[in-house]
Amino acid sequence: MHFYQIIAEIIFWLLVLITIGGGFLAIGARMLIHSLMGLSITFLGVAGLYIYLGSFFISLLQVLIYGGAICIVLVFGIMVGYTPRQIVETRIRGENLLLAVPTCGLAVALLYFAIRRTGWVPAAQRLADYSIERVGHTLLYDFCLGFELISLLLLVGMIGAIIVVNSQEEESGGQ
Amino acid sequence: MNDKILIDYMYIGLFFLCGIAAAGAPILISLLVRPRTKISQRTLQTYECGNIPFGQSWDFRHGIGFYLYALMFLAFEVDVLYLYPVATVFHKVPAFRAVGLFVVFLGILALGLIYAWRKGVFLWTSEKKIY
Amino acid sequence: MDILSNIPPHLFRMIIAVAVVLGFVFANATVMGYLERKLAGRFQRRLGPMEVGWHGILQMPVDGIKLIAKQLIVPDNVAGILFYVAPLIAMSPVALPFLVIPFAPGLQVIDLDVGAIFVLTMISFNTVAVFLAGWSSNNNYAMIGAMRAVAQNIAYEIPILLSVLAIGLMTNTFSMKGIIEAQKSIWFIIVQPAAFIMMFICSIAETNRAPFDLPEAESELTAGFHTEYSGIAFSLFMIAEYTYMFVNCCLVATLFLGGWKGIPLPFGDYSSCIWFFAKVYFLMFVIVWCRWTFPRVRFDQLMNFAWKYLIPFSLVNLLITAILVKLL
Repeated sequence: MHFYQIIAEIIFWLLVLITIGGGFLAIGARMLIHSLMGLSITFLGVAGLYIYLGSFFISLLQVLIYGGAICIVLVFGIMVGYTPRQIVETRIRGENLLLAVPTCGLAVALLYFAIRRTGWVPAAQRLADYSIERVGHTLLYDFCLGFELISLLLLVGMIGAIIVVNSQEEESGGQ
Repeated sequence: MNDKILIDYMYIGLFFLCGIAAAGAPILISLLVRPRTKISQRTLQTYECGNIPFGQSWDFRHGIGFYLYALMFLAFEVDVLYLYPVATVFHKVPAFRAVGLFVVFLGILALGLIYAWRKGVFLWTSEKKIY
Repeated sequence: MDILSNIPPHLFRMIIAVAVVLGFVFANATVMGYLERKLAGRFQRRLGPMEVGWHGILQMPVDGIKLIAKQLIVPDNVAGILFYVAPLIAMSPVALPFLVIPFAPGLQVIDLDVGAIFVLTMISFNTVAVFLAGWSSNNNYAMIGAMRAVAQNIAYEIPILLSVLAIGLMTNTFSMKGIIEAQKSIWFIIVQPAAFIMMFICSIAETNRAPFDLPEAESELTAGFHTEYSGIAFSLFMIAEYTYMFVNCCLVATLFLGGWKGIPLPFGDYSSCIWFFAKVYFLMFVIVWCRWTFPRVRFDQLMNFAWKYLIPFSLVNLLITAILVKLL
C-alpha cells in the first residue's frame, strides 16, 4: 500500500506542477497564442486535480468547458482583435499598476478567506460519492438558482457582444 | 475513491501514454529513415501555389463574426452540460419541476439564439449589403 | 481492499487492451483508406486502385511505407514547437474513446458512468489540434482552414450535445452499456429519428468530411489546415480523422442503433460483435457515400445550416422529449 501512496503523491505533485507551469507560461509568453496554450495547459492540470479529488464528471466538464469552449472564445478574441504577432507589452506602471495591485490583492484575499473558512477533509477519508447522479441531484436542488443566473449572465454577455459589434459596424458604414 | 475507480484511472492513464507513444513512434521512425538530400531554400518557403509568399498569415485579422459564434457556443455548451447531470436524475424528480427547469434553460438559450438571429449575426457579408 | 492483489490480472488486461486498440487504430485507417478510394472509384464509374496486389488491396500498406520514408519538410516560417505538437495532439487521444465503446456484451474495456460524455470530450480534442496545425503553419490557406474548422466544429458540436442529452433523458444514464441495455425492446432510432438524423449529420461535419470539408476544401484552400504538413505528419492527421470517424459512428450506433443487438447469428458470442461492426461500418459507408455524392457547401451555408436549422430543431426535439418522458 505504501508504494501506491508514493505513486499517488508523485502524480499529485506532477499535476500541480503542470497547473502552475501552465500559469507561468500564460503570463510569461511573448505571443498571445502561446499564452493561450499555457492557459489551456493550466485548465488540463486542474482537470487532472478534479480526477484526483474523485469526480471524473467534473473533470470532463472542466476539459469541455474551459479547455474547449473558453479557449475557443479566447482564440477568436485574439484572432479578431490583435494580430497574434503583436508582442504584448507588459507595462506595469502608472494607471495599470494602480488597477492591477488592488485587483490582485482582492482576489488573493477572497481566496484566502475562502480557504480558511472551508473545513478540509483529506480526499481519502471522504465517503461521499461524487458520481454524476450526485452532481445532478445537488445542482437540481441546492444550486439551481446559481446555474440559472450563470446562463442569464452568458446570455447578457452574448447580447452585449452583439450590440457592440452592430454599433461598430454602423459607424464604419455597414462594412 | 475505491479500487475500481482507481483501476479505471490507470486504464485511462495508460491509454493516454500509449496514445502519445503511438503518435510519436511513426515520427521517430520517419526521422530515422528519411532521405537526407540537400533541400533548396525554395522548398522551405511557405506554400502559396508557387507564388512568392505575401506577408505573414499571422498579421491578418479575421471577421468579428467568429467571436460572436464562439460566445454563443460558450453559452450553449455551459447550459447543455449543466443539463447532463440533471438528465441522470430526471426520473426521480417531480414532473413539474423537471420540465419547468428544461423550459427555463432551453428558453434562455432560445432567446439568445433568436436575438442573434434578429440582429443579423447569421448574415454574411454578401447578404448584408442587400440588408 | 488490498490493491496489490488486484493489479496483476488487470495489468495483463491493460496491456492487451492497449495493444489491440492501437493496432486497430492503424488497421482501421488502412482499411478505410482503401475502401474510401475503392468506393470513390465505384461512385465515379472507374475502378479505383488496381495495380498493387489483387484489386489494389496492398495499396494502403505500400502508401504507408512511402509516407513514413518521405522527407519531413518543415518550412522556415512555422511556429517552431507548436508545428510539431499539433499532429501529436491530433493523434494522442485517439485511443481513449475506445476505452468505453462496448463492442459486445463482454468486450468493453471499462464501463464509466459518464461514457458518452467521455467520448464527446475526447472527440473535441481534434478541434484544438486542427487549430494549432493551421495557426502554427503561418500559411494563409492553413490559417483560413483552421478558423473555419473551429467555427464549424463548435457549431456542429451543440446539436450532438443536445441529441445525446435527449437520449440521456430516456435512459437516465450515460454509461454506454446502460444505453444499449435501455434499447432492449426498441432501438432509439425509431423513438428519436430526428435526433438520429441530426447527430449523424453533425458527426460528418465534426470529422471535417465532405460535404462539410470546408477546412480542407482543396478547390479554394489547397489542402486547408494541413497544407504545410508532409509525409508522416500529414498521415497522422489522416489516421486521426479516420479514427474519429470510426468513434463517431460507434457513438451513433450505440446511441441509436442498439449497439451490439441484432438478430442472433450462428457464431455464438461473436455474433454481437459482428453486429456492432456491421452497423458501424455501414454508417462509415454512408459517410463515404455522402462524400462522393453531395457537392461541398459554401461556408455561410454551412454555418447557417447549423445555427438556423439544426440547433433550433434539436432544442425543440429535446423539449418535446423532456415533456413526453414525463407524460408517458
